[in-house]
Amino acid sequence: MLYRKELLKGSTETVLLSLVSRKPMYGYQLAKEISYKSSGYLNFKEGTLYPALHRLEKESLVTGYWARSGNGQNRRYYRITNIGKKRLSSMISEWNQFTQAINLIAQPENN
Amino acid sequence: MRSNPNRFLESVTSELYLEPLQETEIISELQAHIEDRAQDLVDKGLSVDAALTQATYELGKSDAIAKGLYEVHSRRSWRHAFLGSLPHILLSLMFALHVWTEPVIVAVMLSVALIISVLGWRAGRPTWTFPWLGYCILIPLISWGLAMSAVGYGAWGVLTRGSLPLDIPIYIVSLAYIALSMWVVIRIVSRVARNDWLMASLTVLPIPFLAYWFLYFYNQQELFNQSANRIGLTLQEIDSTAAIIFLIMAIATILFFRVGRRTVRLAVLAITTPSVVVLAWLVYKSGIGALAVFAFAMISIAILLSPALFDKTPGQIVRSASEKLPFRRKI
Repeated sequence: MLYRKELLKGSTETVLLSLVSRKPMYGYQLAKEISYKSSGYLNFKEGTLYPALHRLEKESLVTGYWARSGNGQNRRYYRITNIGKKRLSSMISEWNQFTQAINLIAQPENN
Repeated sequence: MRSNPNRFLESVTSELYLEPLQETEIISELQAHIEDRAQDLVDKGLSVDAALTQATYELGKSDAIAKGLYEVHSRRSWRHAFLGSLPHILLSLMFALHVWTEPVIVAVMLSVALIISVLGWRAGRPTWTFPWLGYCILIPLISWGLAMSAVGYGAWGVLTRGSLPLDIPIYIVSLAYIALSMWVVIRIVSRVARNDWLMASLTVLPIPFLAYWFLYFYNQQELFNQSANRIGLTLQEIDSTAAIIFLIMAIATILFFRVGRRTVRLAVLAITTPSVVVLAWLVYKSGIGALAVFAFAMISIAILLSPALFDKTPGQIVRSASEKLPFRRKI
């Protein structure tokens, strides 16, 4: 569980940028989507989500704006920026190389 | 478990220390999150109260959220940090080049500090202007010191000779001026401390050292003639120490702006202020004992922490949060 938490901490940016790159989303929508897409494996808690979103905004990777949601309430949406798209692309490529390397090391040897 | 969303949001508000507009946005965003989650839980069959309790609990600890958000929003760019440290760097240069005794240069420096502070005050008070403001506060503080010495001189005259050495109107004006200048300083500091009292502490950072420096010169009135040689130091050496001390303040200011963590910021200020006083004492050897310098260092820390007195009181927090609330029970 602790290991999973650490893994999530290291990949928070990738997860959030991936989701907002598809369509603009607001905080709760993102939290729900992360849980749904990962079949409940990933869950943002302990104040991780909002500081992470605001950090992405501060770094100009996403833009935050208020808009009406489906139920007519005002929600703060996050949209990916061009800088964010570039960062995401390099993050995904880095992630793929990393997981590939880990798999190669971790998989049992076939003699 | 935090069962009350209002209390949770009040708790976050109390620890954010950000601009009111930023705080309102953050609180509205968290409030929306709780509403949405609670709505989902109500749809699953929970009562409204139980849903709100659960939604608030799931969001996490209020202090962790506030700490994380403060860190993100308070950390400043290198440019911001440099602009904030610039008055200390200029002071350091003034001492390094031994030009601080030139009235024109001092007047130019104070004018620049005043212009930047006034413009900054009118333009939404960017935090990098606060160290400049610190030097503007010196003007009423120095004149306050002079007025105090006039009053002290008068009191001494009454005690020793039974008569006032100066005319009574001078004392009346001095007392009125003391009250007015203190009011101005307290008002400025309280306005700076309104959002984050640590910003006011950063503003007053050079004051303890400068107070020590003034006292030192007050005690060494003949420094410009022979005194420097008598105490084994040249004026240039004294200036070099002051230059280093202002450079230390510049580095502390850069660290303050670049580090987001509140505790680290506080530590930077709390370590720097007494350290430069002790450093000055070690180099100047002005005759005061170790105990006196320890007391001075403690007073320095007290001055530095005094803006905390202007921090939001629980009542203000509740009022401030209530403006952003009450929690909209639209479920």
